[in-house]
Amino acid sequence: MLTAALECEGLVKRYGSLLAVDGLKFSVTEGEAYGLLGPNGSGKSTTIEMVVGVLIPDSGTVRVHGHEMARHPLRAKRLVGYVPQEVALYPDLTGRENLRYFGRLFGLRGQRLRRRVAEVLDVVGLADRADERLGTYSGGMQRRVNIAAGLVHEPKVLVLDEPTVGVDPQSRNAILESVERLVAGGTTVLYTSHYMEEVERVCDRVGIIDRGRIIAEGRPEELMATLSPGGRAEVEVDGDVQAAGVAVAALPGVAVTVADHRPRLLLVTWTEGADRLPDVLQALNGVAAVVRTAAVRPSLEEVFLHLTGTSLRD
Amino acid sequence: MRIILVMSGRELVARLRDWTALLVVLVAPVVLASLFSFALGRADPVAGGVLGVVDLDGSELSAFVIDEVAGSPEVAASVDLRRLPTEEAAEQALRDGDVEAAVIFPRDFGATVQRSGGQSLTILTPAEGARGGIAARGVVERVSAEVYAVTLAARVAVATGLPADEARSEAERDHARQPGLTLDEHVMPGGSAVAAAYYGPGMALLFGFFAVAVAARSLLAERRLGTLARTRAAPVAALAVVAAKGLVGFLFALLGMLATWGSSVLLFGADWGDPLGVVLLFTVFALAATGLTMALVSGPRTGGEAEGSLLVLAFTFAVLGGNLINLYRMPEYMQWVSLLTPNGWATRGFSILTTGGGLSDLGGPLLALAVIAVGFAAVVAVRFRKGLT
Repeated sequence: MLTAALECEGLVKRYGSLLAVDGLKFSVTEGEAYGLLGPNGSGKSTTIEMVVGVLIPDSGTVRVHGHEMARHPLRAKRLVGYVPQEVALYPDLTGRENLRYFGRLFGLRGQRLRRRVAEVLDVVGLADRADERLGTYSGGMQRRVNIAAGLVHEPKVLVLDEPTVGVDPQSRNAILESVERLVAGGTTVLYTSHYMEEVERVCDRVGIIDRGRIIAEGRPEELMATLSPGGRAEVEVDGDVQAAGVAVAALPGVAVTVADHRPRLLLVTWTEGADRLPDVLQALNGVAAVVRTAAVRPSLEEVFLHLTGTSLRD
Repeated sequence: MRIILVMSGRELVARLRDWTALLVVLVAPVVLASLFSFALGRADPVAGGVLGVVDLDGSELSAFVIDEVAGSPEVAASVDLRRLPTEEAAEQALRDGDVEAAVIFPRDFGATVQRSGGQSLTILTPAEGARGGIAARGVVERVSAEVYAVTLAARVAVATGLPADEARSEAERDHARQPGLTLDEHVMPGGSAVAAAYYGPGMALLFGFFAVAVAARSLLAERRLGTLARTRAAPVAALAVVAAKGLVGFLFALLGMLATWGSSVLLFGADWGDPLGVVLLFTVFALAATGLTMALVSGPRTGGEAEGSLLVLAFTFAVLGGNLINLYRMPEYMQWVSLLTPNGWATRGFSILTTGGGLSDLGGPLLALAVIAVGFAAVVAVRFRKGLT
């Protein structure tokens, strides 16, 4: 039986007349990576702050491995590692000193503290710069220490709030690799982002949040399947493209368009059946030569657009 | 407690690295004490006290005593004597605030002194208020000592026919145990014989508030940095975060005030009174200032708002509490208002100490400061239980 590592039920948070989080509910099972996906202002960060116990919800409950955050905050917090959106470290301390400090706040000391600091510095690849002041690090390096500070006490649940915002591609990749290693190692992860590709890469399950509510939830492929229950494919042909289009469109349940920027490319969509590509190829037989075919998956971006009517980066 | 020490330790390391600690605990107090000592000097400035004198006797002896007192350089340096015709006039002058107190030489003064050597002086002080209380008593006690010495000298002169100087020496030899034979070194509160001994503690108190504010500002800075939220996500009680900041603020305030006192005493020879009383007053004042300041930064969410408030609070309390303006020269209602501030209570405490009072006289100020400290600590506890973001 799967154990819930993190459960949120009926979370509500208001700021004056603004309802930032509106009855939000989701749960993350042990060892799972759950992505909270939404545009800026959708309530992701407010949700995260309630999950880690920084913000007290107006109503609703957060439980971490069964410990209710409101009733037993110290027990619940001990199990959670928090990586805030902005770098939240002391620039006047070295990387190692920052990690030692946050480790101590979680009760680590002595040999165990030294060992854990060394380990997380290895995880984020900063062991060789650990004794330099944080203020001398690049933005990407600071972000990596930011993650390490959330890991130093070996949390059972790691909560990352948009950890790659404003990071160069190289550092971003390093951060994602670190998270992937943690997930592979069995750490439960709650990951928020408005970058679809990150969520697809890291998360087992995704909740799409809009205006403080989860409007869709599931595995990435399940969510994408809601947009297109059949399938999509690109077919590049050599010959009479118009005739090829007409031949494919004649198939029942199949729609076809010609790509604007690539006139020899047919975009084929079907709404029923797992794979209609063999039917398409048969219809093209004798009409046009098929140069290349490729299955096309809808993106989470499209799912989000479909569900909310707005782009994720709005 | 361990967590509080961990957080305070980090704060101290940070403040040592950016030199704030050195500035707050050592440099600024020594510079301040030096500036005040140089500005106010070690000499006894005119305190500005006006003492009414009514000679109802009109005898040769009473006139002699009053002239001697008025001519005494020690008294002349700190007290203006204003001769008044009647007791009623003295009372009116007191009511009008024209004099701090009045000494009445009764009609039979000369005869009584001649007959028994005793004095029969009436001292009028205002019915209520600090100005009519502590300050006036200091003035009168000081003058009384001189009156006593001069009276004795006069009596000796009359009885023996010796010149006044010789008579005084004779009187001093015969009454060596009487402190009144020499001018008492009693310092007048509110109009200190050494002004630095009044304004020195005042500056220390103002500085104490600033020192606490350094720690409070770091709480606001942590809000901006995001480290406060991160700390709150750790298994740390909200109150522990504030307590850690408060502890550093308290230490800075206490050490800064002690340094002000130390440099004032060691470098410039100022006397602030009973050392144990000084340390106790500093300690309880630092606690009160810490509670108040931490309560203030727990309120406004924006750093700018809170930082501005800290500055306003420190200066307002310093002015109201008599740290920048002599408390005992303020109108009486302002002296009552000063009791609403920790500075006002501490100033009263230091006035007691500088006028020779001891620990047993400090009950009121210490209690009031302790109540302020505990009260605001409770406010902080309630506010921070609701969250600290």
